[in-house]
Amino acid sequence: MAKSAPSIMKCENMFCAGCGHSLFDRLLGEVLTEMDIVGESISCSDIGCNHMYQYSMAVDTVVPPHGKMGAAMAAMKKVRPDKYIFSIAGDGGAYAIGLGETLSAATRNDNVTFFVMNNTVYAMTGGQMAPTTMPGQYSSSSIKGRTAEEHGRTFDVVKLMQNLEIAYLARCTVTNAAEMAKTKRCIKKALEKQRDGKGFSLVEVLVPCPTNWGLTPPEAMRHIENDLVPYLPLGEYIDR
Amino acid sequence: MQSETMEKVKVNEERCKGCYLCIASCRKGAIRLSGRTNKRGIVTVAVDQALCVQCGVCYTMCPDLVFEIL
Repeated sequence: MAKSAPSIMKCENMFCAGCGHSLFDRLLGEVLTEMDIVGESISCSDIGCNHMYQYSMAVDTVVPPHGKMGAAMAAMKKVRPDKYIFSIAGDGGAYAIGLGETLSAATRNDNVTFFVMNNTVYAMTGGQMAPTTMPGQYSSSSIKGRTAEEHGRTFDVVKLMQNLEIAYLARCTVTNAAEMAKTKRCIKKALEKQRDGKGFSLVEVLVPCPTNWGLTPPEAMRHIENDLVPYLPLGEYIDR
Repeated sequence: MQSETMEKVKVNEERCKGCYLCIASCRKGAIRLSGRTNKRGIVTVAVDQALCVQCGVCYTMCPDLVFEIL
């Protein structure tokens, strides 16, 4: 079966070698193309590595202040209810700096879609520790490894959101072809929830950051499978 | 029936950044280092068209859209 890049991926991306953001971006590009909603979509970009999708993907984009995607998307949906409004964010923007806005959008059950790339570090600024950093993980600001006593426990926002009345909540990853297929289904389902007016949907994607983890890309994929997934289980948690 | 030498996968070597997730993912062992470098200075990959079964895993796992399954 012939497979080639979706037409909206207009040029080479700017991500590092083996970065998971670019794998996700292509899946999203495929879904937008298959649903034929490229012209009906407005994306909301966070600040951070994830924002570089806008240079390689031909989709309208709004860039609000760092972390304020929840508030910005709510406003965008009110102004343009006929459009698909989604955000591609990082764990730093959505779960740390913009946690208030993210949770507010979820508690209001705004009819928008959040895609959060969780790579467990603040990647663009040099791999500093984030609230999502794993126990024992080395980062440029936790050089002896993260400990619960000194730095607090890893923040699991998907677990936190499981009791909220939202339309769709899922966690997936990009470590192999089977997981990529599942992730694509989750992306499509989240956008379909918005089309059907069901409300807020959030898809967290565990993505590798070989550059800041200090691993080769295949090692980074194995790190997700062996160390992240047991702590942050994959699956669909809410599907209303 | 396709000939074993028929091109099954097109490789855009200039896009390759050298993550080699394709080599790690290919179940048939059909992808190997080409020995050539692209403009980035990255040693690119090549597909053994005889071993390739066009499963599309390389396309799926490549972050940089190097592969096109024909």
